[in-house]
Amino acid sequence: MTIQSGFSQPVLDSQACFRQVLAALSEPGSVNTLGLHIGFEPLAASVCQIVLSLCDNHTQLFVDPSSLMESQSTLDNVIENIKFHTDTKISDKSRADFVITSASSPFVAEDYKSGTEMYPEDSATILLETNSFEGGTLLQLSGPGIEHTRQVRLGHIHSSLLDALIQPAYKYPLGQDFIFCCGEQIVAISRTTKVEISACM
Amino acid sequence: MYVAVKGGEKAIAASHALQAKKRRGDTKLNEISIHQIEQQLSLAVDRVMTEGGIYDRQLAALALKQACGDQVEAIFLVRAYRTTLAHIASCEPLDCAKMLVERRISAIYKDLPGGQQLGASFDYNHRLLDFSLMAESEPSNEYPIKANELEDEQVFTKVFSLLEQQGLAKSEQSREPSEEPLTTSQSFPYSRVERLAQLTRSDEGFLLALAYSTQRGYGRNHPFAGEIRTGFMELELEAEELGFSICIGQIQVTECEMVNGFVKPEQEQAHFTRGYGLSLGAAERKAMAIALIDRSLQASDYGEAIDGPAQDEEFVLAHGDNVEAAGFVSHLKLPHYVDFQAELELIRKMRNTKDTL
Amino acid sequence: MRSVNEHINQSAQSEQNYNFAYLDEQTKRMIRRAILKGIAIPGYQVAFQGREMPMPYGWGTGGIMLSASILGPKDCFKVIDQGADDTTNAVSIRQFFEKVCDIEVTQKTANASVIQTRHRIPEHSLVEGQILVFQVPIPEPLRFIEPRETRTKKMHAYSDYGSMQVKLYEDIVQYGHIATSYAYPVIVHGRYLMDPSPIPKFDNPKLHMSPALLVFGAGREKRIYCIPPYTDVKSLDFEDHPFSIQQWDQACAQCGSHDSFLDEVLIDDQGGRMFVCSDTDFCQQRQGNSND
Repeated sequence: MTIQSGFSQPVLDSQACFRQVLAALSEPGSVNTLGLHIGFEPLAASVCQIVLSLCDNHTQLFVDPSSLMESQSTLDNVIENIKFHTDTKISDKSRADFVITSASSPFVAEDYKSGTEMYPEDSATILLETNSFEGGTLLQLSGPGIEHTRQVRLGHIHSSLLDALIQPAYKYPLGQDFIFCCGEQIVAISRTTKVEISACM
Repeated sequence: MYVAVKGGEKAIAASHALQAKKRRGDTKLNEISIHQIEQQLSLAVDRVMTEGGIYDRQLAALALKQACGDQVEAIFLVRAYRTTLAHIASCEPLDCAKMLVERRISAIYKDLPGGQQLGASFDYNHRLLDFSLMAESEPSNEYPIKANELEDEQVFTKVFSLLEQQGLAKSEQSREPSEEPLTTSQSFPYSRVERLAQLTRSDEGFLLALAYSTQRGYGRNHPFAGEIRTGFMELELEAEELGFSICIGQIQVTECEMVNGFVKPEQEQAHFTRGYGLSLGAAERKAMAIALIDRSLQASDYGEAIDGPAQDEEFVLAHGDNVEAAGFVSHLKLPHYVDFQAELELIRKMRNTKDTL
Repeated sequence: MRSVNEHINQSAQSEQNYNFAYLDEQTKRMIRRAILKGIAIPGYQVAFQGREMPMPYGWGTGGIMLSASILGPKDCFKVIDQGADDTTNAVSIRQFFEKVCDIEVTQKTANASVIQTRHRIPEHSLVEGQILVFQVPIPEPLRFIEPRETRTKKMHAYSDYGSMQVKLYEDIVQYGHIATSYAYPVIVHGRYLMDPSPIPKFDNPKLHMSPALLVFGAGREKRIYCIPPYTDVKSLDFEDHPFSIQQWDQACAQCGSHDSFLDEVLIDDQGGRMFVCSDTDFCQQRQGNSND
């Protein structure tokens, strides 16, 4: 077990990361960069920075062990580091405010909080590790944050996840918000984002 | 230029300088010290701590000094300071049965284990101005009470536990210790715990008036002062690394438990209902008002009609905070000329339309 | 004989070390999470745990809490009240952030990355990447129709907005016009009824497909809501009474503008009046003056 260092300037680095996440979610499909921390291996640097800047003892985090970690000891090490730096609570899938999983794993929207008609914000923000923003199916996005349309590739993502993006399991305003993470880069897909497979390849 | 409200920077600085001068008053007189305020205006300090939400007598005294004695302003100062403090940990729930009691009275029994302890109080004091206080005395050790006449603080059985033993009142289980830190809720209905926390922070005058209204028939709930106690409590913190709790300090609190009108639920024997209030320091009037309102806000739990303002949770809890209330009332002093212009344009348009009719 | 900011400065240097942007990090994270939810659900009021700020509730605390959670050392900050940079409360808020963030401030709309506003949207078109922070007194558009939060919450859940349409229609019957001239209700992204804060309805069209991110903070009422860039925002109206904005016969007495929101200024006690732009930066730019 090794405790690694967190942000070198926690106050300013958290603010800078938040602004990148804010930009990403405000403009779904845009690529934003989080370059202030190398991440806790093997998690992507951007995943760690989102967690470091947004999670604390008022939030619950689920780290999907099946899809991310090579071994139990690696998982333990990552979780210990996250807990040490954020004091966040590790929870099961169904209660998590933040979820860390892999975009190439099967995705079941019903596993995670999706809000209620009265409290649609009581839903999970899902951080998905992916391998690239250059490969994968070309998707066309539209909706709030996008003036006309925006095209994006999300890397190798599981077909169940692609289906969930194109046909969300929940009717707006219920739903989940996705942040795809590849190294230091992130791309967000909000629950308001309409996702289609792009006609022009 | 043309608008008096503009050119603010100099005006603001000058206004603050004037206020600072006013606060100090006549400089030929000694400046009042924080310690004097803390010691000699202790009930003012207690109110500022209770509604300000920090147990710190010195800070409360400083706030009172800075606010020229304006309690609502002082409460605001303390709250604004509180904002900057991180929530580090939650202490274990207080068990007021363990209180080291300075004062304890019950209106429902003539005598009871431990007896009535009047302690320090204005009760039974004839409210005659004591002109001897106008003369400033030198510090001395002469107090009306000699130290050996003061009874040691002691622990007393709670009156309600005596009622509970006989089944005349239901014991109230505090909820399971939650992992969630207690914060003021943002959504109605509040849990009772959240409600009580909010009431403790609420304006004493507002609560007093609402409590009084229940006594005059706007949501009557037949109260008896079961027990009022003031004393010291130890705060305990469970240290995760140690696996046991440690005492991190002592605070003075005042607790009021009201015995209220009885109910006879189906399948159960008749029993009294109850209202609870807790304040920091010796804020006794506040604790009583909270207890009365706590009970009136339980109306729906007992299937009672909600027809008095004090029974209306949203009305009471949304308007009780004097920092919020004072802020929003005072914001009318800010310029609103853009909105007023919008209204002018509209009213002129309506008048023109009428003319052409 | 010290100003508020000197007090803050002094206490910051002595034992009281306030955090960057005043709020503690936990509070900022909580607000940041609420902003992100607000962006994901445009126009929906996200409840958050409001904090007391060192200025009174009602004086912009919601906006201040948002700005404090958003601002970083790279930002350039502008504050306006009634459209003006030099109104007392705008000055006070700007000085506060200069002090607690040591941040660059500006009066030029075009130079600002974050603008906090009360009651106006700048005349100068905002651009992508800018963030406009609104101070909101009463976030609930249905509040004066239904005072209870428990009921208005349900009305939003079920898109039950008929009572608002009825209220506006009754205005037409009684006054011949919709009698709402500011805080004019809008529907955001075809779903949530939203109060745009007490901006004059003149500014409502600027909400629609705004290139800038719009965030709204109600401190006392403890609600945050947002309109992401390029979001559909429609002002409520009727086919036979389409939404319209204020118009003046006069032009600005200072810059001659015909298409800005004008403030009426009394110039004598005989009823003499003049009209000037409410947006002081816009007016100055048009007059060829530089603010910074």
